[in-house]
Amino acid sequence: MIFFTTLGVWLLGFGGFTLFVDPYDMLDTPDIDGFNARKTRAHEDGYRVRVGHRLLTTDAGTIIMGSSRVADGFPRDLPDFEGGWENLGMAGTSAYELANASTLAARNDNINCVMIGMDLREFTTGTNTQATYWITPLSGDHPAISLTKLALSPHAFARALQTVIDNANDGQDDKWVHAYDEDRLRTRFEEEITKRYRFYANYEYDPERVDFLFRGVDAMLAAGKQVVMFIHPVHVWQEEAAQHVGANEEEVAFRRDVAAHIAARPELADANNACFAGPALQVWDFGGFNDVALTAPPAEDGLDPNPWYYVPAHYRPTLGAAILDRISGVEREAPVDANFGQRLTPENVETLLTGIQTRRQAWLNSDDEWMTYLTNAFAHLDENPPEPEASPRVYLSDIDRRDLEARIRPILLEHGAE
Amino acid sequence: MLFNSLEFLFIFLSIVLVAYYTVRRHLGHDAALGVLTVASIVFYGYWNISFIPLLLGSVLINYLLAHTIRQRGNQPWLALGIVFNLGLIALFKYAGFFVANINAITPLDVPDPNLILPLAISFFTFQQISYLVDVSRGESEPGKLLNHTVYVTFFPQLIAGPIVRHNQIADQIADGKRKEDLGSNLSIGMTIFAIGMAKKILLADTLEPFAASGFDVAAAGGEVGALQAWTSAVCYSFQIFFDFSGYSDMAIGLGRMFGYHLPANFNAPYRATSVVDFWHRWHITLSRFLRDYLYIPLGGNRKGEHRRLINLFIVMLLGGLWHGAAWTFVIWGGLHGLGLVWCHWIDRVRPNGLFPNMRWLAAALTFLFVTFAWVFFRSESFDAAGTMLAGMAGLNGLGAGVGDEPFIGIALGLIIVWTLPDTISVFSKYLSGPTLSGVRSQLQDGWRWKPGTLSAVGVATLFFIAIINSWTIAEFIYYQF
Repeated sequence: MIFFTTLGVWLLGFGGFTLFVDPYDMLDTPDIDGFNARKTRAHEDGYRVRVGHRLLTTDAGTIIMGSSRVADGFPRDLPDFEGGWENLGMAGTSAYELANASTLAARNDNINCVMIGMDLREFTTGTNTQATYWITPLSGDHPAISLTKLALSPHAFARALQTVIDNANDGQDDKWVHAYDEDRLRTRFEEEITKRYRFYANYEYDPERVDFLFRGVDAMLAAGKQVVMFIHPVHVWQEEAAQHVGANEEEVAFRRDVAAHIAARPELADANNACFAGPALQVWDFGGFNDVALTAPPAEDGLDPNPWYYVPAHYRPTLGAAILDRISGVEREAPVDANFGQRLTPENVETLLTGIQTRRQAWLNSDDEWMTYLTNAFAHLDENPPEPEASPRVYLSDIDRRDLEARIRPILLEHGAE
Repeated sequence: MLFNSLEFLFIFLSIVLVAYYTVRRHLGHDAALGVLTVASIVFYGYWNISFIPLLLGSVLINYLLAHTIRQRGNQPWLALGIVFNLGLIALFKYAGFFVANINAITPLDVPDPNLILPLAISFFTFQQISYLVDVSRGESEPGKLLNHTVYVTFFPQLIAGPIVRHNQIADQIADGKRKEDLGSNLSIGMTIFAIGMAKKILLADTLEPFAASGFDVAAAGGEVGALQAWTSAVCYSFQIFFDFSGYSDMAIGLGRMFGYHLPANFNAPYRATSVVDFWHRWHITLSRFLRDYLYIPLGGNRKGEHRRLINLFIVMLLGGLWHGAAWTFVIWGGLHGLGLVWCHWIDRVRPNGLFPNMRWLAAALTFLFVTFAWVFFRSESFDAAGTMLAGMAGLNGLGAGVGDEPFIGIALGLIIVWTLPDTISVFSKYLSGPTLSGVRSQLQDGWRWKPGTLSAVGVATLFFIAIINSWTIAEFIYYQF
């Protein structure tokens, strides 16, 4: 009896506190000023908890998934978007998480179209999941079980505790609140030069992760969804870091692997309720030394910001809207006109790759002051190379593959696709 | 459904416990066995419902064969039963392996059958072989169909053992007059379960990333430095011990919650001072199964020393193959076979062992040997094992640093396995004959559990800590076998 009483007190006290504080702003618990009214830590899980549940419950016809580039680079909501729109980006996501998220999207009948933003980062041999993945329905659990896990998660408990402390002391999660303050963006641009150099020096591309994501895509296609994938437009300060440090081959391999996956699905049925013109599966490439990427960095005083980018890896919702327009066929003027973003197909992948290199060479041969600035910065780093970013290599395991298949196969069977 | 999942802990187990004891009290023992059977089938079907007919079909056929053996004599029914059980496991577990080898050594191109390995098939087929053999030897009665179904499907031991011999538990299952001490069953069972869960969640799963780091790099064709290779290999030694012994503790604890006494499966194996000693302490129920149903029928030590050593080697090779359809498992078994042969030879030439006054050195060397052998067990291929061993031999230099955490994990592991008593020693006063049979003489000194307020609060707190860390659920290693 003492055992069960003690256990009960621990579980109810711990879980009850977390659920009552509701650090991720998921529940309808009372918001008490000075205690939990301000959800100061709601961003710290990269929106995973919210996304996990929203994938099952959203009634938006179109959703967009991806990393923080999607979370920050697209509007949270577009009231005028036909059929409804919801941004379900998750900061720091991976092909592993996106594939499993795809199985949830496939099961939601309200969703007609799924956009997925991607770049090399999702396909590296890095961590498959962020910590809170496991307390969301993304991990394959029933929503009620996920909520129980959330209640009993030390992670969520810590966030709940921080929320209460923040509310009591007028504190805030500064990292998120001030991430894109205009007067700090030039500094962040400068910091990114070394950061990206170190990142790409340690970069390892894992083609198995592309296969993994496309299995998730298969589930959505089988369920009649339209799937529009796109490669992010990153600023030249990041593009050139990859090229300069030698990740160009990975960029090439990635695009060829994606093209091969499109080629492997030649005769797809039309989507049930397509949101965009074109086939049920399409991939767009917005990367590679285009006019948007080549824009000047923000001024140091923050008074002359870059119109498209917060930082080299993260673009503003204005560019997200331009991407959406391009995919939707809405005409715009340069630099986001018809030359901004191309459909990537098995037939044109080599042309696109050649185009990237041609544009890069043209930029390197230009007298652009920022090209000179950046190449000098890289030359300096070449002379005094910083340590490559240290992160343990993580590979997909048989268990990962088996778990995903166990979630996909019932969907394929239900829709007669297997 | 994993023992450490919230579904199991808060829904399945709670419902089954209440139903079992309520039904036993009001409707009788057989009805309670019916509850256990249904619960076990639900537990098994939660993983993959399509294999329930296979499990129940196997149960029924073995039951009919046992009755036929009893009524019409052993042969050919016993042989038929063994062929049936081995055929089942050969088909599902080894057909792909067999085909791959045929294709590799001949010009044939036989298609891979691509069969899904039914969960627990290695365990439930072995238990049923022991059932048929024990019945044929007159050591067990075939019993009732319901009892036999509970014997095979009893969910605490269905998936990954302990491998329970029929005569170890048949009397317990048949004993309808047993008076259950609910308080004792729950307190002892829950405490052992909590300790097993803590081993799994707090130790094994924490060590997993450090263990995986080197093996994963090797599997991906990368180069592994000495630091990473050694920390990975040693962390894996601890991971698999805490994982499997944690699972076994949970199984024994669960069995006890329902009043059943399952046999011990681990007894401080990393304190073993020789490979022979190791196999008296590691996966004890498998060792005994192999001894009684393979080694002794092969002739055991009755046909001379040379034949004995050959028999030992064959048994370990097959024991390795039992773990998985891959040559790396065979090599692992073969290494342990050679280890056993070596120990028996040393026993003859130096009866007091190589280091009679330095048991700690013997234990350390045995641990190193076992760790070396685990490299083959854990590696996905020979190439990967070779890469790891090359790294351990220092052929790739020290390599990149691995941080402090793996070393802290290793130090903690060593302290636990070399200074603390194993679970069955801690609970020995409250465990009965069926659990402690054959291991009493090797119990370790040290802390002993006593029921009381402090203990209940402590174990409940440990259980709570394990629960709140169980949301990154990792499957038990032995589930794949």
